[in-house]
Amino acid sequence: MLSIENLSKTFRLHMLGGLEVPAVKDVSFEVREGEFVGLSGPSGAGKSTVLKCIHRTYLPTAGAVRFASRRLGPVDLARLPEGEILELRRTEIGFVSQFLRVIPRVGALDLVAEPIRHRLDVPLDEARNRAAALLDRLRIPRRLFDAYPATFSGGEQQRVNIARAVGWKPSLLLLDEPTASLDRHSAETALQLLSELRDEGCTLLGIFHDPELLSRVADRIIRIGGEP
Amino acid sequence: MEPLLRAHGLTKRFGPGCPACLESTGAEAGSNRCPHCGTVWACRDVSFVLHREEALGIVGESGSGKSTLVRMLHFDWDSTSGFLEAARIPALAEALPDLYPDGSPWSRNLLALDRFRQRKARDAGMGIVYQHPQLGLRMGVSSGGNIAERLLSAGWRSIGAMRARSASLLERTEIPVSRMDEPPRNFSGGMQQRVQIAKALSGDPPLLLLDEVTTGLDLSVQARVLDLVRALREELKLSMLVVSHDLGVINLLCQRTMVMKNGQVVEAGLTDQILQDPQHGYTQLLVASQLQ
Repeated sequence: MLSIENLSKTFRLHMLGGLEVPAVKDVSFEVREGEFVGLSGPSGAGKSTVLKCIHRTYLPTAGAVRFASRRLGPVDLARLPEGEILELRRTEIGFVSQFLRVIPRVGALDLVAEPIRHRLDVPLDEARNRAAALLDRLRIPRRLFDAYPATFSGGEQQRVNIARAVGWKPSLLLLDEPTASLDRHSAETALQLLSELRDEGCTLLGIFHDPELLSRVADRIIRIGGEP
Repeated sequence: MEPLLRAHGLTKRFGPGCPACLESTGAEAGSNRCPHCGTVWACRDVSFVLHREEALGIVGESGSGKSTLVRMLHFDWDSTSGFLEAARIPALAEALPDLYPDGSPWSRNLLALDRFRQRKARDAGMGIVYQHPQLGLRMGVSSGGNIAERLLSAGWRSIGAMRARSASLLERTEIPVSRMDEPPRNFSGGMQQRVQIAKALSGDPPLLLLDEVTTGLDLSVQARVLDLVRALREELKLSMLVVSHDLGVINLLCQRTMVMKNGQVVEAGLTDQILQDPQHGYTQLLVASQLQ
């Protein structure tokens, strides 16, 4: 479903006289449909850079990111026009990071219900019910449902973030340390949710801070090299 | 995504121009004013496509040409050259039956229309909200009257219907209907912006132009205006062009962003890419200068 071919990313910093900072070089791997694949490697190896290149938050410097899209057929995400990237982000490819990107003045429940409602075309009440079920499982107290997540603790924010990312069931979900500040129990619940998503046919590719946890849920682990 | 509007080579020049202009102005030269002939290239060769229900951001420092661009799009200012074409929209086709050449999905060049037709195209196709309310509103005329004026120009004639429409727009933009007979100069800055938004939406336009609409407002007032814009966009399926020097506003509202400097677009891309992996030196400076 996803084939990374000789992906390289170099940052060019104009404020430092055009300094070139290589982040990843010649990374290649494949992910099959329905797999849960973990990325591992030392800090600074460029794991996160690879995920952001797939999501096109970073512009790849060289290489291809081939993706078998349900709507568009085979595409190279490294070169796909922006309009189509946006369409895929709306319909097929999800991204969840360590940090909840809160929408100011939107409560936790609505934040989770919003993608369910719009991307799955589900009525508001139904979307809120599904969102509530997810937040319950992740043990967000119901009294916080209408509160703004900007005021939540780091762990609570991450749990809301995970609920928001899995609720609309993307066909490919990219995960950039979404469990970094969760306690053991919450992290396990989160991974349980992700495994269920995989069982429903979603493909997952992610970085997790805890290697032991990763090896328990992932079908396969790909190592991103030492020195770039 | 279906396109709504496409612009090609939009240019606004103040002055005669000379053969040295091209290489002496723009982002590389670091100025929009030609040192040889004094010509100012406020906006040079700007091209973009705006899709339906999309918000496109335009960022850049003052003098970068972003407001000039909006004024050309709104026909406030004549363009020196360029093409602006609208996709086939029922409201536009109805207002200007000869706007679309036979069977064409794209209109004729809107910039080449005469004043009268440009006004009709504007009434049917777009609304604008300016940074300074006095540009968009007559400050001494009642708020309801400001909206009615726009409705009159769009062909409305029944006073009762215009009053009802004004009241419902003001209500939607959170202005108490009891104050619709008061002039905007009695209102706070945030309320004035909301009256402008009500007026901009009066003709049910598919496109809303927002020119620094929250600049200079208190944070809480700014938040309320932004919340309103977000709610209206979803409710009315609006396309928006959002001009702002505030990357936070752009990040909140826009999926794609263009960065302007010295009259030129130096970079365009997905908003998250512009903010996290800016390519141009100026964009890198802009992103690095943002308060966290």
